[in-house]
Amino acid sequence: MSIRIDYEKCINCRICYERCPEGLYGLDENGKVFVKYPEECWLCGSCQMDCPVQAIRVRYSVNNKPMFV
Amino acid sequence: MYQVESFQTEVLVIGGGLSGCMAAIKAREQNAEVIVLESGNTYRSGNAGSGVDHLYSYVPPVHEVIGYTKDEMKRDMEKVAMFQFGIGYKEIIDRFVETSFERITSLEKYGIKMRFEDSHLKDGFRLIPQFHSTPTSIHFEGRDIKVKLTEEMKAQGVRIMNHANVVEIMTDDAGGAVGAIAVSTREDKIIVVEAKKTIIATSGGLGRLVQPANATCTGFDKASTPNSGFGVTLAMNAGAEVTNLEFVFNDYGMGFLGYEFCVGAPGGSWWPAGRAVDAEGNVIVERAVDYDINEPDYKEKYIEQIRKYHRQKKEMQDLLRQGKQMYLDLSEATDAEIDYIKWCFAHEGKCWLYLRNLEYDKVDLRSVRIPFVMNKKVSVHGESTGVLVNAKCEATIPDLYAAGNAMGAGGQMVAPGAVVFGWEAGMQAALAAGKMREIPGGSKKQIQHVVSRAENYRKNSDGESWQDMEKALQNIVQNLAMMPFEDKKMDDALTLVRALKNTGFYAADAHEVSRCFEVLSLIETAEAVFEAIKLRKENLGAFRKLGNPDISDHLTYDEDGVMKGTKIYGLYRSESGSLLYNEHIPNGN
Repeated sequence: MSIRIDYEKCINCRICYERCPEGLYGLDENGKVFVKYPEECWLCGSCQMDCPVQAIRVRYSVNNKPMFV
Repeated sequence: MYQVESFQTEVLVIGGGLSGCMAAIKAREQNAEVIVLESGNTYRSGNAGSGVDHLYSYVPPVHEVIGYTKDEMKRDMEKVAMFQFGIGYKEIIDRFVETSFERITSLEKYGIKMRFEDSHLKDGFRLIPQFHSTPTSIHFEGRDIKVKLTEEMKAQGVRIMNHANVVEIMTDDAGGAVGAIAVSTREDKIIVVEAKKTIIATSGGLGRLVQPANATCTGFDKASTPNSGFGVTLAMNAGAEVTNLEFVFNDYGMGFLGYEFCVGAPGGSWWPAGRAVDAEGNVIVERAVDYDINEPDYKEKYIEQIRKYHRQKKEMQDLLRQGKQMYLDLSEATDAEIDYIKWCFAHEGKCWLYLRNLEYDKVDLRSVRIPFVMNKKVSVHGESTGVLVNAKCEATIPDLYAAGNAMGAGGQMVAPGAVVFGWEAGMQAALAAGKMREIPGGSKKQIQHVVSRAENYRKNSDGESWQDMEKALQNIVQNLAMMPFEDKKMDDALTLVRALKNTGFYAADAHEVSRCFEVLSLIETAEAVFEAIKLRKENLGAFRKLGNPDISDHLTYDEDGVMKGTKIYGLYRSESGSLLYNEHIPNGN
């Protein structure tokens, strides 16, 4: 999965849940954010940009990253 | 069961992207009550959601000094807009050039930094070349443009309703727009907004009709929502005309290996140091020179440089088509140039994340070579496709406006067009709303129609998922929409698309209900594109149709290569439900 949340750092402020343009974050039964629809991410990076504690990393997966030689 | 919540306002803005925010702010400044309906969240939604670093404009402090006139810019824009991407109203291009500087630099009021002490131009601007014969694009710090515009909307009292995906525009008996109906992306809820004036400021580009091969996509199997072109179906189903749909499909062209997001390489965001080399190291596309404005013949040098760039880039494409390999190369870039590329990437949409990923992978831009490939996928251009409007952003039915990417017949407007015509639509809608006494009532029949559709999606457990339906549609489009077009091919495509339209969706939750409505809109857009291709009787620019004895092929150009004497076709849904063309004589062309 391309979105990685570091739950040690996450303060559950829900900015990612509120702002993701595709609405792909959800809340679990305890009200904690998680990535509910990972396959709908198109790598805009907004959640990582706006995370106040740098708990989110959006990584390119191997099959769609730019290739260099 | 679905609940219905109703609201009233003077001006309703559908879509809170760059143009929607500008429209809302401008309408509010004219003292109109404003509601914005947004499917995501205005903080980061739309094509400018994670930033935009360049907006082209006529820039008087620079252009007047070097002798680049407004008329020259208008001619430059007509050439690009009308040849490659269909045709448009000259008055829209003229309005853009006349008003762009005031409107684009108005963003500075909202805290967006556009001027820099180290500029070697005038008034602190950094300009880069893009579509025009001399540099016109203001390079600026726009990563958080949507955050700042959202704060401004809130400060001014715009009512923002996030997570509400508009699926229908309501009309009254006289055929005018009276608001819109949205589905919540989070709850089993329908949101109805009745309004005096309605502005469509939704996604424009039609990228989701195919698997992504466009520069705004990333190599995933899914195109982004801002490239879904919802404005087309919203307007068409409300009885308004849409235009230039027959121009959307094209060959893609160049991309990077494994990654289609090449941001204008070897120019564009890689300017000025980016260049293209072949396997032996021969330079095929030279790097650019960032001329100082004080140099003699600044303008002439740029015009010559840009001509050379286009010549060399064409040579590069020819070599790629012959199977030769080519690389983006930055090996001779200076430290300052690499820093400049990184600065611009940090503010240009998904390039911010691209930079982060280069850092994680410890990639040094100067020491890598990035292989170019010729992408064989069908590509979708949507720049001049959309709701047919005049220079006041008025659509062809009463009380409806369109701005930004949803607006058609404006040519290659993209982000600068979103700012300029977002402002225009907001201003015009607010002025007209001020003259109306009452807010008209919405259509109960249409609301009930949306409610039952949403409820059916939830109940229909034998139905298909939105993902499967989107893939099925893309399969039809990718296999039958390649040029050259033929009427028989379009008939087959229409048969298949209509069969798909009659296939039921299933949605497990509110998020999926919203997605189902999106895919239904994509299906209806594809249907409209195929109909438009069938209806068109003239070959023009990129549009070519075979095997039709009725088709005429009369391209007329003036001495500057600008197309003359063509008509504008507006596609609309007739009362019987079939799609028909209206012909318009382009105003001022």
